[in-house]
Amino acid sequence: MKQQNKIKLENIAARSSGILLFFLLWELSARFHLIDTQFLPPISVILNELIHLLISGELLHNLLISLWRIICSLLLAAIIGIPLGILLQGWFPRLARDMDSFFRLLSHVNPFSLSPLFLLLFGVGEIQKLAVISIVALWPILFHTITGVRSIEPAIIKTARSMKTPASVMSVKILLPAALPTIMTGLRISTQLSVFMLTGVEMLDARTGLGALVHGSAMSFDIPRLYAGGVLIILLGIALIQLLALLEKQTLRYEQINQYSDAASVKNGLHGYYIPLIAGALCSIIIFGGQLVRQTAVMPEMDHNMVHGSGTSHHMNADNSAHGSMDHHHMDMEQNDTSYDVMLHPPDGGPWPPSAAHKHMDKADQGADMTQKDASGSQSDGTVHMDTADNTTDDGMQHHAMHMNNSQQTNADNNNQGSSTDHHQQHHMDE
Amino acid sequence: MTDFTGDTVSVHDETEKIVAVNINKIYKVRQKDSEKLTEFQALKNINLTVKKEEFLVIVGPSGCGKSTFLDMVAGLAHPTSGEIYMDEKLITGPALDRGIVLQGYALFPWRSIRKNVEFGLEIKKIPRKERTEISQRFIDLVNLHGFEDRYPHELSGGMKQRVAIARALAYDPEVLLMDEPFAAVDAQTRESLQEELLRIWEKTKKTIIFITHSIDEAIFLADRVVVMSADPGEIKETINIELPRPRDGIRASAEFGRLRQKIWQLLQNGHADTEELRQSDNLNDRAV
Ligand SMILES: Nc1ncnc2c1ncn2[C@@H]1O[C@H](COP(=O)(O)OP(=O)(O)OP(=O)(O)O)[C@@H](O)[C@H]1O
Ligand SMILES: [Mg+2]
Repeated sequence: MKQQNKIKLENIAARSSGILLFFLLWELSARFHLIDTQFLPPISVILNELIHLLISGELLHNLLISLWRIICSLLLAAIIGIPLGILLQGWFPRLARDMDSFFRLLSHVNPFSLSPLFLLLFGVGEIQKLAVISIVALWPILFHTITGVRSIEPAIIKTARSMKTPASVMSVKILLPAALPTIMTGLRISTQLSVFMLTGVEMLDARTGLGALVHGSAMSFDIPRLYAGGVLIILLGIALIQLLALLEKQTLRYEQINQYSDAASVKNGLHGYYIPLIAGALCSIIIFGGQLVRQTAVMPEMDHNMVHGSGTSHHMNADNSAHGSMDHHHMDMEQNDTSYDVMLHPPDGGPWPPSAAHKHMDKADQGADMTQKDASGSQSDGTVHMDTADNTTDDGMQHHAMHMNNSQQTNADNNNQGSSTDHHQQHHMDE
Repeated sequence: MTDFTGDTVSVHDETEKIVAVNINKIYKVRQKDSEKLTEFQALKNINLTVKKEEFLVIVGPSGCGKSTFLDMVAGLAHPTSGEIYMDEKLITGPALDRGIVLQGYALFPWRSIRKNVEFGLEIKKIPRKERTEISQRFIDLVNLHGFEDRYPHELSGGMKQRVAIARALAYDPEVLLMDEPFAAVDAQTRESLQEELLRIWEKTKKTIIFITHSIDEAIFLADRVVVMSADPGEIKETINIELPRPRDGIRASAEFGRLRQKIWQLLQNGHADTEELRQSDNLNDRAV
């Protein structure tokens, strides 16, 4: 066992060596100013930002909401796609063949290009977001289900039919498991697609979720945050695919055991735990994520600006009870997004803008052109500051104060640890 | 034979299990150049009676319609004309009174051996405990004790074939239909499977219709061998095999050799006929 683990670790190290090297070169080239750090900050800065997001709770908040959207959309697509595929190919194979080109056509419809139609059909809100993602995720699942059922060995179906297997048993106990390997491939493609779609949907009209985080960061020119969000989305995609791979390994165990031969008997015992774990995790995301999404959706317009992204749910509960439900309007979304992100990121919140980093790191070899950039960086920060001040004049004052308190707390903590980040922050605040 | 109608079935012999009356099967096939459908007669005027607890073997050249016929008995396909009766009842579809074993094993790869064997029992809605008992009995019967929790891909070809047999037997059909079940295993395994099948047959008293390409296999197993010819698929001759049972070591006997010679000749003739037919067909094609 130990030997195996060691080999496994070495494998992982070997496989990730390329990425690690890439990160190292990235860091070095940023540190030595071979690249424009304003647009491509060093990886360490991005990591720092990630940690910051994690501590503040924004990361979890947005991640959970994004996860909820993806999982619900995928479930929806699977719930429609798999039974439809089985029904079509299993009982109406000719219809399935005739419909094929029509389905292919439909699958090329980009819901973004038809967004007015989607607005009309589903309105603005969560339903519309889920619909947009689901409709894209549906096709790979449907096609792969049809292909999977079509390529079942005829003798298997013949044998099952010879026992007068009723249609329901045939679908669930024969066609579904026999086509499952192919369906899983479709599901994987759909997962990947839905991560893309999710990002797009959240960038367009959402205030929460990782896509919104990225979009907001772009609007407020918060580059490290933008990258941090981007990295998170990539990680989300990878994590979901890994999860599926795990699920696939579990459900399709019968196909893989012989690859590991004897080792499989040891692994089987372990494998058994994955399914309940995964199921539990999925359920929690759907339930708790749904809670979060609902809370954000009914948030009153005014407080919305203040509260977004502060992350803790009790915080928002308070808002709900205070102001009742009220829907925000589609039109002023953009503006909201910007200000929300300003709030998320008060100027004292992080090691960015580059001015801080530079001053700290490279005091000696600072070039003239660099200082110019720093100035512009500070400039943008200044305006952001103004925005924040404006907003706080409303009755959201209290929340704002709370938020500030929180971040100061974090700062204090950090100071105690004496990490380099805080030096930046201190530096910047002094400014 | 030709005026053999449904009425005669009522004066039915107690020992008759399956009666096929004037079976014809015509496939409509699309020619590759034209849109027109042409008819292809796969089976022509098949009249066949299988007795209760009989072991009937069908041999014939490839494409003579053996599988087509077996599918009809299973209820998976329907004759273009004619009827097949089982215990005087017209066969209209599949049912659990007939079990089928196909050449490609057709095991369910996502199910363990035990769950494969239990599938028919699940359809029969037999409770779990009883199911386990029955499946264990049949797994033991085909000598697979200890492999219950393995998956099909972990077994050898011969073992898979035994699972397929156990699966078909487990739900206790009266008739076992076997379409070249041993074609994919090596010669030695094949002989031991044949002996095993005979042992099971004697023990379970099933009626068996068995299709094979192997003359030796046919003679070794059968009470009666039906020799078919192709284009169109017809019954050429039915040969009673009156070799004593048990038949261990019977392959070396003179009678066995004589029967082998006879069937071989029947098949050769059939082949020669079809060969000629095919050639004339080709000529016709060219003429058109
Ligand atoms: N669905 C179909 N459509 C058209 N023709 C068919 C169809 N199924 C079978 N046939 C034809 O009917 C004939 C008999 O087929 P069948 O499979 O019963 O042969 P067979 O005797 O079992 O041959 P083999 O020994 O090779 O298994 C063949 O010539 C085949 O081409
Ligand atoms: Mg055949």
